Amino acid sequence: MDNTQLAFDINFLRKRKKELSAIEKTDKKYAMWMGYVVGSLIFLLLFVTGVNFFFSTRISRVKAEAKKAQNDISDQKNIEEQYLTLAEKMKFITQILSDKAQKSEAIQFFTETFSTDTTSIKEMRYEDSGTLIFQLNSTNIFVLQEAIAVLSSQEVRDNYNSVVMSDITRDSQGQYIMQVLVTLKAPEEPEPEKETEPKANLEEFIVN
Amino acid sequence: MPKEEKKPLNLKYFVTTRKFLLVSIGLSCLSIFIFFSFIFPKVQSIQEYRKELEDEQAKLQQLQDKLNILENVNSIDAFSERDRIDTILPSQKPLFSLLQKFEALAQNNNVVISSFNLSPGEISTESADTKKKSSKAEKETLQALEIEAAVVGEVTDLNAFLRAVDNLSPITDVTKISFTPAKGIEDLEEASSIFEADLSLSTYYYTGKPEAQVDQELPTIETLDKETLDTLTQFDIADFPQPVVTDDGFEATPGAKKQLFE
Repeated sequence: MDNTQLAFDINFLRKRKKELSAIEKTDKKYAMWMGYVVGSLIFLLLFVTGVNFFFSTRISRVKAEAKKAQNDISDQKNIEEQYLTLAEKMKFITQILSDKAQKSEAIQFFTETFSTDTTSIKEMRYEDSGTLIFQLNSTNIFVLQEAIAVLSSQEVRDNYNSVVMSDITRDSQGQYIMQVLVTLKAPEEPEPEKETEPKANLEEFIVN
Repeated sequence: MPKEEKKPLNLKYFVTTRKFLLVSIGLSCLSIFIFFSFIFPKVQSIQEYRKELEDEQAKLQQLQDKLNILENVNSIDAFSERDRIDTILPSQKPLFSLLQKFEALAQNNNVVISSFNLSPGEISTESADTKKKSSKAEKETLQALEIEAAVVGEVTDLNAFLRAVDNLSPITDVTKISFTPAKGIEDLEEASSIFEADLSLSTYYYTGKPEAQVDQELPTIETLDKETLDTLTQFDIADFPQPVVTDDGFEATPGAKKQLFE
């Protein structure tokens, strides 16, 4: 054994100690960082627990307020029923009135116009589709022609969507009976081009 | 040369020399445990709480709005007019009040009711209430009294009568009408101006009984303009004995004797 090797062998402990110190230092560093991580997580856990507690308390308070409001509403059950009845009645009244308004105006116009000594209206009825249907009786053909002229007039065209005259018949007493169909509501589809003014010529409408 | 012997793992030596490494490993396991066992579930529950809080607050707001409306209900115009609304659309069959008003309208407008046909249907009595009603009737809360009447008079008077019927309360709708010259009038001049109107009318009344439910939102009340309200309730039956609803729900007009037919 030479001197160098002997010296080396004698100092192995110091070398080893040095190595171990370096390793220990690195391990200590890791342990320190992991300590920080654990500390942060604990802090985060406390924070999250606090937030959780805040929300659960808030929810409990809101639920308590809602419960109180429900009890107050229950105490006013009679008023609520009156309110509900009124709301439903108003809905029905508004619906009935809107249906009536247009119809009433049309009924009055045609009854006033054609209830004369030479013309009369029979079987006037209103269909839910917005159509007024009636039977127009005329004592003679000239009166019928005048009635057709009135139904074809600009005033009627301006106030109603369409007026369809059809099924002219003559009864045994010489009276002319014509079916009239008046559309009151505006159609949803775009209106087709209006036809040229129908002639107030009786021959166009006679049905054999 | 002797073979090199494998050195067995010296655990004690490892623990002694690498204790801080073991501590690091332990701490990392602990951090993973803390995160997945405590933090992650709590974060999830926070999200659920947030959603629940939003829902509860929305529900509370709805309840408070409803309570606010109910507490200030008298400030709603329609609610303060509910007596008039009840006249326009009554909650019971308006049999007698309708008969009275109809006759009064005829008298006021100088027309004569030559025929009158009304099917009152079931009068509400205790026994009727206990009978099982048809499912259709139960579903329909808006019912109508159907009236068939023939009215005779001059055209202007008939039209005035029809306008009055249109504005009658309980709310009445003319569903069918027929105008013909009146028959059986000897005076020729009069015969040309007198017409008979055959009418089919529907007078509406309300049979619903809405149930209050605490969590249900209140509907909006449709507004009815004052002019329409005035028009509909202009016909006053104050001069007639007022109908009363008895305990069994029967609408009666005590002491009233009216001749409906001429």
